Amino acid sequence: MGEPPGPVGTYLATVRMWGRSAMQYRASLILLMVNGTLIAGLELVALLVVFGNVRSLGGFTLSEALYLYGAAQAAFYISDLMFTGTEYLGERIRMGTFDALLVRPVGVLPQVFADQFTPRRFCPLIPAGGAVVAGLVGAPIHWTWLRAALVPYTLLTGVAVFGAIWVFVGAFQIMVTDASEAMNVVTYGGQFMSSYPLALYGRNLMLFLTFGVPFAFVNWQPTLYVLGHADPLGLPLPLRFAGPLFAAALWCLALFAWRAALRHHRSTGS
Amino acid sequence: MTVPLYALIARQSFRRYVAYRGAMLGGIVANTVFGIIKALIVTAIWRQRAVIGGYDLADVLTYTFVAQAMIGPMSVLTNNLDIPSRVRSGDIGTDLFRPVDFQAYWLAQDLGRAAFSVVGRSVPPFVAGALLFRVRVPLDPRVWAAFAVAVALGVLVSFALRYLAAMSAFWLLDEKGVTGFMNMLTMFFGGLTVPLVLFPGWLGDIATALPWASLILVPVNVFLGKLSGAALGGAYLFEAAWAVALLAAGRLVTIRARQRVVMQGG
Repeated sequence: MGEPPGPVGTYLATVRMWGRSAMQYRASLILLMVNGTLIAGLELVALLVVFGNVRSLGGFTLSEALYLYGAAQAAFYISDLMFTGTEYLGERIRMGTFDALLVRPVGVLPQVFADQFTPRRFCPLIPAGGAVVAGLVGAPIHWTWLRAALVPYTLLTGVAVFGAIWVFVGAFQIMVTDASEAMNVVTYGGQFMSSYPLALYGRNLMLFLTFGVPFAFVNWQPTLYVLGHADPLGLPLPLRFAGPLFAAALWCLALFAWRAALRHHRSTGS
Repeated sequence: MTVPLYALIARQSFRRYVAYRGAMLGGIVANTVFGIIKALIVTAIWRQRAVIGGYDLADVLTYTFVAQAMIGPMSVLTNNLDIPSRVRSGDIGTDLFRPVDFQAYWLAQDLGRAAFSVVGRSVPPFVAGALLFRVRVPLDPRVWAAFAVAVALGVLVSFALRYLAAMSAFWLLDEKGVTGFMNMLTMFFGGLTVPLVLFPGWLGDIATALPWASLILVPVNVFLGKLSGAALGGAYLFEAAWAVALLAAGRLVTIRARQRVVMQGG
């Protein structure tokens, strides 16, 4: 054996291991993949059902709402694909198997990110991607290089924001092992909230979602620029592009919380 | 077999869930916050149209928070029956040997769980909704009684559906595909993802005829006082008919499953 692998090597090796494990129950995996696609698809149908009753929602037409929705969902599901292993930490701690990860001579966080990885997490990206494409084709966008560049930029920012949230989830699970469902508010709640125009939520909640928990940067702020909408809060233009700053700040806080949680962790022993 | 025995099983199950207070608290917070977001979205929709599918804004806000309150008792998001893990571990053999009816045993367990859920998990999201939004709260105790019956029948339908999905574990090594599929149908046709009144005509007609309408739509309509007299009787009959049909299907599946079980000696 040579040197232990770096963080990326550890992550990829763990992903491969779990991926192979998921392939063992092939029939079940296929059914779960169909499920995953359908669940995400039905949520998209829900948006279409809403627009079957009204022409616009929060100042967005159907095409614009589809793009906003798809961008949020895609960012969430990519982050889910990459980092969601932190969600299983509570169970690992209860079972006492977290220690197995701690004693390996490689980084803990990459192993945790890749924990219980399964290829079916690619599936919800199909309807999400479909919504993005349908939205971009249908919405009357005045394309410029900046707007075109903002589309992938939005996606990466969203993945980064949600990624930091998954690190918080991990830290929280170590500190409070049995109330992990409360974190669903931030993860799945964040996914849900950022999928609809934030203008729906009123001024105070919008401010909180911009400067408190910065979900506004997952897609809302850059999307306003792409679609040529004014900010209902009248926030200054540079804020449309400030997502990475907020994401970086969130990652610093998240990693700090993660370290604190690891120090706090006491094994159950035996 | 005597009813008190099943009541005892239900009570034990109720007590078991009392022990999971952390999970309950997490569930309450999640159900409440999601309820608030959904309420803001339906408010934006109903501001554009005063009445949709016979519902005004106060009706749909009530629907939203009653639906959030039903997530726990009706177990909308998860299967919540331990049958599959007991099949995998082999403990199911003990369950099959018990001198109680297998299906009734799991029903009693689930009723205990649902009862706890009503007490511990349903009330807070609804109260939060009623404080923050213009929600209709019935003042007539008879409406509350009628609502309780509709919820109880809904729990029976919910159990019968989840039981069928969980029993697939006797045939499949990993039942998560089947239970996940069932949860997905429940979320959509139960009217949790989007209120059923928003469904367009044909889809709405299909959805209101399917068993999942018993879980949220029927109890909400009773709660709103939209159903009384013959209409209320009809709604109960609808729920009861689905409960009987699905429980009977579960019975058949149980007989087939029993024939499949091979006990390892030990």
